[in-house]
Amino acid sequence: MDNIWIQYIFIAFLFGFAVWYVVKLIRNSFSSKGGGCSKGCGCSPSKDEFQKKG
Amino acid sequence: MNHYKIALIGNPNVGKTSLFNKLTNLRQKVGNYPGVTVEKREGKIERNGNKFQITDFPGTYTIYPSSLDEEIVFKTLGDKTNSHYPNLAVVIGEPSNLKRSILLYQQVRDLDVPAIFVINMKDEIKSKGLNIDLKKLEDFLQTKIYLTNARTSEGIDELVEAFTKDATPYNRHYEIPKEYLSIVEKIKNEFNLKSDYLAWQYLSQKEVPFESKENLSKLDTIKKENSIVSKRLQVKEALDRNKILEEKLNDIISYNFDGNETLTDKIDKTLIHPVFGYIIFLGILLLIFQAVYAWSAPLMTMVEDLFGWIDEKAISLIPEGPINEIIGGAIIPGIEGIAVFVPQIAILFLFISIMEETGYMSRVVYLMDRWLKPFGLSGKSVVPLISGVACAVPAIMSARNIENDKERLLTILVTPFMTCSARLPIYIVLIALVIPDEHIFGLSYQALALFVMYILGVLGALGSAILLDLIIKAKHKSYLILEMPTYKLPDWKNVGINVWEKTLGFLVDAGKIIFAISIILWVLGTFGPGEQFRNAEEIVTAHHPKMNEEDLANEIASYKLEHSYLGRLGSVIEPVVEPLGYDWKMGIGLISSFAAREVFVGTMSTVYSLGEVDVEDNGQKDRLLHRMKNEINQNTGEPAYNLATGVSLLLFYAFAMQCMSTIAIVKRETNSWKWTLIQTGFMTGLAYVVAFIAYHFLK
Repeated sequence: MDNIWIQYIFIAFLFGFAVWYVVKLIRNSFSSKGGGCSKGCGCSPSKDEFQKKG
Repeated sequence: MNHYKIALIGNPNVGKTSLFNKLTNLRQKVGNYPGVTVEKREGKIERNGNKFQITDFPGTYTIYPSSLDEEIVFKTLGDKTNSHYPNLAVVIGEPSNLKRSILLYQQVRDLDVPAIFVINMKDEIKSKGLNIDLKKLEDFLQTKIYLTNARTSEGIDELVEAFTKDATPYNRHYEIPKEYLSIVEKIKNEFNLKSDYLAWQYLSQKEVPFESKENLSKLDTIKKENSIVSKRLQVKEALDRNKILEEKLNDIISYNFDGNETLTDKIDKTLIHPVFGYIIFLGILLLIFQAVYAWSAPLMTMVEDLFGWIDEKAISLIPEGPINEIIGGAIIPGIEGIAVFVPQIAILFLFISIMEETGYMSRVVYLMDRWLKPFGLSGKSVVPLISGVACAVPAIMSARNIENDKERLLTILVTPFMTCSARLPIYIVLIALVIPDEHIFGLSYQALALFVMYILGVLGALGSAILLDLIIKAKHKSYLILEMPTYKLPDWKNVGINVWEKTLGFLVDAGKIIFAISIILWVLGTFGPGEQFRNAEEIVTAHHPKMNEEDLANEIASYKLEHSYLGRLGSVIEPVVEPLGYDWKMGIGLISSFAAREVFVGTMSTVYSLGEVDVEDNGQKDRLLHRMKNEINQNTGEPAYNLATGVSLLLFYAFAMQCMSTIAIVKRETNSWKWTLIQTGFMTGLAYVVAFIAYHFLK
């Protein structure tokens, strides 16, 4: 396989990964029960976890 | 090895977090600012064959929460099945306000939680002329009292040794009012509770967060049947407790008040003076603003130079090809786009940390609260709003100090309206294009236009705050009950740690998102479908056979961009931007500058085939302006940049959320895509409507 095509495949993977990462971030946020800062400044994941454990 | 769970509980400003740092060697933000502990902080230590899991609970005055952070205290201490329920609660007080800390201690012990009492800042007992009869106080509190000084580590070892000792037996302090005894008994039986005081809590707490829905509905019925109003019970308890404390403590604590003003009193006479207070604050703001702008400039240049060098090296080392291009055109600039903000962030947080450490921040909040309250904001919003003029990213991060959930969210949502430095290059180019270079009373029209843009930013922020204030519901009412801590010299170690944590957090978390977006934008702008994109060189060369090499390369780049996926996207969104007076080229500018506003100028130069343009270079700027002035809008046949489109673009950029870094940091700080997207949608929608009105009014 031509070297240039290997590079294009690498970029395609990188692009796919970037798209997947952004989509994952959006999806996780919408599916998470934590309402973010509508729940206050302690709405960090650590605090959510804290409250759930409680 | 025995495991112990230790809970650090106390009022704000008692040095609880400093004590936590000393105990655990974990580094955490420390300040003289109410509600500084807004997250769960945990540390583990091992001593004498025992393991201690120490949790730093949010600062609270009583176990009745006034904010969501404070809810954690009752939620944990009221429920023995809670995984964080402690083996020992360490209730911390400080000499100036012992009564309040003792009230909290008694509530904790009345809940049957094993607890000891610590008086931190022990050096202030003497310096403030206090006489504490420790023996009597120990008898009254039914525990041994530990004296510590978190700044000097005095008393820390003795305190750790106390963690393994059994708490002394305790007789409940609070007598349940007689008229409620029968209901308390009923609650005890109904919910299988052993403690009278916990049953009282079921009545007096607004919510019992650890009970099942079924039980809560049962509790609600009992409350209604007996006409119980939780707030009234809370007030009654506070009054009863304070009355007893007042009597008892008179005999235990005495003040040798010499009548002289303390240093803090003297400083406060100036710093919170109704006139001088504001003047001094304004001066400090100017200093911060100047520092964020000027001090960071050489550091930012260093970062840019460093990345320029890395970029150059990387490009020269990696063989030519797409990987070379993506590294040089997306990955390195993407990382640079984040790293370049680091000096600004570090400097801003350096000042904020010093203001908190010294105790001045509480004075700022006090001064500004009355001016910001009508907009639904807090006095604490002033720091993010002002910092936003430099950069919204560190400004939004500084909103962490606002403990009220609604006010913090509002502040985060409106801060990006403030005119940040990234808008400046766009304003410079567009104002030069559409505003005549003339003067009125010695004032330049262009300078006035720039000033108006800054004012628009402030109005946008305050106006949006009023609107959002009506929409966002508050779970807790907001009061500014502010404690003015004594002035102290900053603990430089804490300042350094705070700056480091904040800066690193920004670099890593926001960096990941902008890195991904940079790659996406680069790929969309570099690749395209169809023959026109593939044969761009042949087509452009055929059209411009006599063009010199440099201009031809720029023309080819422009043609390729037009037919790239990003360019196609520009054409697709043309119908959307057309009502604003824009063509597809401006559409591309809008899309590409979604990553960062300043990209607009660079994109325009690429679209107009000018290569890279430095707006601070007059020659290059003039070339871009000349080209833009002569550009004809293909939709209207009129100049693309006339007064109507220019003002429309200016207003669009004044209000639109065109900054990936800000979006990323809003997501990180709110932990919510919902609010991030609402903010982006609201700002962009507002920008669109305002730009639309301006264009149709002026055309």
